[in-house]
Amino acid sequence: MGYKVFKVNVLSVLDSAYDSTQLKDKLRKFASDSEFKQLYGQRMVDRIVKRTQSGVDMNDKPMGKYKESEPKGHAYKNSFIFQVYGKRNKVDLTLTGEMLSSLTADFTKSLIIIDVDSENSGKAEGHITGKYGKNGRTDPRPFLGLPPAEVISLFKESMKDFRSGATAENEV
Amino acid sequence: MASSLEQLQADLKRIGKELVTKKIVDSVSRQMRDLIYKRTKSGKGLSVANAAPGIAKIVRLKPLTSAEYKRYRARRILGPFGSPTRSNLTFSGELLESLIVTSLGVELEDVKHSGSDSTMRQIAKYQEDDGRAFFGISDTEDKILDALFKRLVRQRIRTLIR
Repeated sequence: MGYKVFKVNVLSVLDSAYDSTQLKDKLRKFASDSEFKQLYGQRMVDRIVKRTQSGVDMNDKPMGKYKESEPKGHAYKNSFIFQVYGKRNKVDLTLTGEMLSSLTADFTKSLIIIDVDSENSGKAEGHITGKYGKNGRTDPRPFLGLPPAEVISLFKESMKDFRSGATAENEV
Repeated sequence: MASSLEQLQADLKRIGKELVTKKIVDSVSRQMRDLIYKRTKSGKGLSVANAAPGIAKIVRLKPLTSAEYKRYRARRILGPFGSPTRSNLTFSGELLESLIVTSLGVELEDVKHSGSDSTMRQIAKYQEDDGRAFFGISDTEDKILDALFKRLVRQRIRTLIR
């Protein structure tokens, strides 16, 4: 695998999310709960999908537009597939939606690991490293991740909901 | 005992209705229609050899049909997505345009085909018999729809608990 999967250390996020030591100590047991990690992980997946489909990468930068022409040959933008799928100018890494649908959140004792499934890892790697497409040369599109501020805000939101009874299971 | 079970069933039914709204069902159905429509138009159908259907290239046009398409293209009768060299079940585009979203999911609207007396459903049946199955969902597409459905339900729950 030639790209970095997105890993989030829940305990580090907990430390960055709140100032109060007392509150951190109180929330530590919830942050380590596997049901919380599942809920938080799933929400990060949903957020990555939403951001990517709106054309923004993990660094909060727009993924740009499709090129009018390629150095060697025919631009994707002028292809039959591009027209059939009614794609717009903005890059959103979505043709059928298969790659983004395959994003999953897995977790260990303190980490949440977000990655695509094995069938889509080549495609994801191509997008992230910029080696996708006919010529193997496009702009890198690092979609697999979230900006730190968003990781923290999602943590706080998930923690609040988890403590009021939400789990990944009752959220499907 | 029975009444509490009935109550539970009624509650579950109510919760289910509140969670899975018409908007969610419509979004998933629209996506399903889009997947079938765009996949077919791009020249891919279903390989029904296995229990879980995969995606396979639609069988090539027969030489006679291809020649006929060439003539139609010269006369500008062939639609913009139809081609003598590409097999994508698209001549005028009428068959795929008749894919509609209903309360039951996606159906082929049973209208008369402009070029003959056959209805769209019959035309779709001919395609299936000819090894050009397209009307259905592959295992990959099933995963896409499943992920979309779950994402929308999660979104709905988040709205409900706020």
